[in-house]
Amino acid sequence: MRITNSIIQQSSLNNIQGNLKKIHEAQERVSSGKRLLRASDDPVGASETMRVRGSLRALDQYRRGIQTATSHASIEEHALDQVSGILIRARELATMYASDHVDASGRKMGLIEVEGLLEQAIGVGNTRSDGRYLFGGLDSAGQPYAVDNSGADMDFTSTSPSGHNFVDISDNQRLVTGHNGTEVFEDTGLLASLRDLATALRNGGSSDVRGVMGRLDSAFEGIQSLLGEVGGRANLLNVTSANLDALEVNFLTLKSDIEEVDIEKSMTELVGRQTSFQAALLATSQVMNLTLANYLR
Amino acid sequence: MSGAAACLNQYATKMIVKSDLLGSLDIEETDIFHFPTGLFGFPDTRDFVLLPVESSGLYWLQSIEHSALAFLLVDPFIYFTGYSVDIGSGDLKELDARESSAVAILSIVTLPRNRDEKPTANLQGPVAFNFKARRARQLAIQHSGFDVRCPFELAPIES
Repeated sequence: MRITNSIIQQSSLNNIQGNLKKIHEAQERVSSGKRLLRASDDPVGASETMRVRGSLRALDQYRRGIQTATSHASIEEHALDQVSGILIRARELATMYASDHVDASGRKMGLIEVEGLLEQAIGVGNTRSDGRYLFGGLDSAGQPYAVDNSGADMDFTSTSPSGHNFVDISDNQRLVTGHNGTEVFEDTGLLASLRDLATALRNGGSSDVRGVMGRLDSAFEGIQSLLGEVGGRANLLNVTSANLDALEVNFLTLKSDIEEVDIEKSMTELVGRQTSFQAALLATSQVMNLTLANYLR
Repeated sequence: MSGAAACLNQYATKMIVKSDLLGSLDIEETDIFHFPTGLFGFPDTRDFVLLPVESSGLYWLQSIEHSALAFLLVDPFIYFTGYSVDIGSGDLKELDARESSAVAILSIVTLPRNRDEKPTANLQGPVAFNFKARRARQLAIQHSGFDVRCPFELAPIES
């Protein structure tokens, strides 16, 4: 379903017109200078102050968590793009060398390039950020992948990175910060298919090469699927962060309200902080000459 | 229909919602929108009331459960030409929406912290309201080309 215009202005839709009066009354009360909450004579108000202060600290913490997860997602997205490119090239080479018209020396050239691709992919598996291995799972200190040249055919070693790290993005929401190496490089068959393509080029014939093509394809699909997950995560983080920002302005307003001694003092504070929203609520437009107050009478 | 039953039908259930920003609000139960999965960052909040700010295209979304939780929303179609929102099937199902004529889109506003900045609207995370079912849901649109902080200039209210 695509929405391209407003329907909300239609009063037939809703008793929204009836609510106009309620908002007007509420704002009148605010404009008259009365505090919304009186911490001194309202026992509930005092605990409200504590809760609001606590909430502001929590918002900062969540914001930091969101920043960490966002940066992590961006780095992972770049890494997944890199291995996508590697797989595309590997697939091209496989197609080329699957042909019966290529001889052993031709396949040898392909081998050199494919081994290079395998090394590159291993390198991506060892991506680091802030000194930590991005794909290390719970063990971010240990390098997860390495080239293994001990045998006749190039292979790779893996520490089998497992587990996930989380950040708290709200009171009840933890978000995983990224996929681990096993999910990206092994469960998709990414490293194994590159290794097997190299082996087929070294030792086998065109049919052996053809045998790996399907696995390169499914590795590529697996990576695209992970990319989709990362994109979705980045999206969620972005929107959550924007919600927190939007709310923080409201909280900052409340904080000033609960703790204020009198209107004059808070107006002086406001001039210093230049928060137009607070000014709008306290109807100080004539002092601060801020345009928003005109629109939120 | 008996006289007594006819009288009863006239009165929708009223309630008082406490808002730290707006004071005490008298609303009817039919003014409430239910968010089955809350809002991003606030997944446990469920019921909100939507109140217009005169005819500015601005609205308050006030939580019924938390007096301090209120968002300022704006009608994005007033300020952003060419804006459109594609609602996916999963979201449509949660919204219980069948026709687009029952769905309104509003965007959460972040107010400026400084005098020289403009307020911004979150066009990447619009909130969809199904006016028939009284259900709502915040969407996170991927690849929309729209940002979470799109500046706009508020139009003054006609006096």
